[in-house]
Amino acid sequence: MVRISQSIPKGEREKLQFSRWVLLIINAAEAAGIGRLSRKQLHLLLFLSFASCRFYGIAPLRQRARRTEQGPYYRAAHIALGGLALSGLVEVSEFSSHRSTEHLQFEGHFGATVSGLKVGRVLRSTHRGEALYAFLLDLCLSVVEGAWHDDRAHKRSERRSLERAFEQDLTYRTALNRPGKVLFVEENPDDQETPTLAGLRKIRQFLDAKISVNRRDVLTVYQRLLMKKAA
Amino acid sequence: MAGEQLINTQDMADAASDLSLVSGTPQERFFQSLVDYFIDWSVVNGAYIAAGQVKSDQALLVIYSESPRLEPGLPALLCADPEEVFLSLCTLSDGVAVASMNLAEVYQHVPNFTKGAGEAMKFVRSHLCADQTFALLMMGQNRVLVHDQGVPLDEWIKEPRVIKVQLVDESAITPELIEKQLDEFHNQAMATHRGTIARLMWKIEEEPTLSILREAPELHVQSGLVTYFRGLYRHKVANVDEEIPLTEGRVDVRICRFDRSNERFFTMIELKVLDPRSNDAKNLAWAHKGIQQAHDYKKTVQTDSAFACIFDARRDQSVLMPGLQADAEDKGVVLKLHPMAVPPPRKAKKLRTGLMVASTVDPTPTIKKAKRTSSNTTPKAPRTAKVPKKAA
Repeated sequence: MVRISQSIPKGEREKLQFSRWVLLIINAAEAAGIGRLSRKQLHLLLFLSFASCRFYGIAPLRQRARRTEQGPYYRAAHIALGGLALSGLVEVSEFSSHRSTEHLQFEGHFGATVSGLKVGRVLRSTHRGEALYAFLLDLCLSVVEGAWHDDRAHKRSERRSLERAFEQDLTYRTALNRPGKVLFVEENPDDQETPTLAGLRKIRQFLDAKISVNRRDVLTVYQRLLMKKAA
Repeated sequence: MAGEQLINTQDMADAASDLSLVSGTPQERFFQSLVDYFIDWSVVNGAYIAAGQVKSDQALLVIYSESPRLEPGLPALLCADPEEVFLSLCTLSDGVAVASMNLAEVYQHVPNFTKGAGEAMKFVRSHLCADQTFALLMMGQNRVLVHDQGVPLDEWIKEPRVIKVQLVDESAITPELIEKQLDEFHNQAMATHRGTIARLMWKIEEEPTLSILREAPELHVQSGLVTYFRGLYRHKVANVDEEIPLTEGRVDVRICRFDRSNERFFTMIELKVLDPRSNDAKNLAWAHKGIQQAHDYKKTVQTDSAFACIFDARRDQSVLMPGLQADAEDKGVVLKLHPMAVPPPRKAKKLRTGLMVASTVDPTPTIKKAKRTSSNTTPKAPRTAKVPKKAA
């Protein structure tokens, strides 16, 4: 996804890619009006973004989420968040830690900062950065227009819980039903079809026969279906 | 299967109602969302408006921000106590607000303009800069004046880009009406270099460098046109196809409408801008390509008409392009050949000594001037002039 110099070791490169993905998703959530994301919302949204990014022609990152009591857990996301928070690009509030010997789990709310928005704009100045942000922004806009469609007149704190909708994602439900600690988005690199993608294509096919729509509208319908299922 | 349970036809049909269907750049989507809000507000407050309760100069200024909370784009003094607004209540109709692209987050910073739209314009001049995207909703006039990033404020105040809100019924839209509206759009936005869209497209340099078009001129026309249609039609029928191009290519503007018997029709509009730097043969080929693309889109099911809109920005437009009309007729495409006036280069600045070029001017006035112009010029404008390779 990223055009970072090949002289950087692969592991470091992937950390940078993940940091970019996390920063842009937090900025996109701010720009779409979702605002701060809780730890669980952020990890679920990351999972959802990896499950649906091929709809926009973007390959997901390789990192896999682990199954925990607190929901999906991307170790790389916590490392990325730490770096972004310490450099002032992400705001952290309501922070608390989990006692986990295995993971780096903590809870909190993560929001955009002025510096983070500025850095995000720089990251968007490349073709790939722009394409990634456009997708993440559409995803977050679809959440607001989809999952929060009936809550527009309510204060943010009074709106329906987003994580309950995200938990209904088809790829996430499939991953939960498999045994093991890892929550797969794609089984292997050759398998580029996720249940989410199949669902989005089905919605696209349905809408194409009715009205003239763009991908964002397809994502919106998907979010509405998720929220209906969660209700 | 979980997918089957979640995604069934009835649920999809229910979930597909009332989609925003905005398209184009984030700024253009912001303008389209504002037009939608204006329409909603007009409907909800219909009785109030009919009773003459809305003055013709009542104005609502809405400034676009990626984060209205963190970057309101207003002086700190005005941001002391913002009021969160829920646009779904359709109560916001006066004063100054800062909003996100989809209007999901809106903060009102000034409750009203006691002296109406005149005061709003003075507010724009005093507190905003050319780099900002904003819109002035004229609540009693059914129009929205939108400011594109980069347009100098003085120029915008004199001649703002206007989105008329007309609420034409869907079944009244015909290819003939669309053709008429394309002509009107050309007259308002494209015919002269000061046109509200054309001014975003031209890069005007100092003599002897000739004016050239900025990159991707068609994108400006596309964005402007889709928002223009958004204001005219009651329903959200016009959009930009943002998808990855398919075999037939990607249509520039697509109008999807239903007639009285609820039958669906598409009208496709292909946009091409002829480049002043290209020779006539290349421009001619570009125009023919537009006709061919429009012809290909016409093969799409339920497409009743396809337009090839050729905006002619050649320096010498007296050279005719024979065969275009015949080609369009052969292919069943409506050809709209619209001339665009090419702006003359700016006069070179002269020093007191009569020498040209600004680099040696007394630094004090230069700094002042630079400060003044920095907020009133397009941010991407290059500092040094380049002579185009094929300047006529």
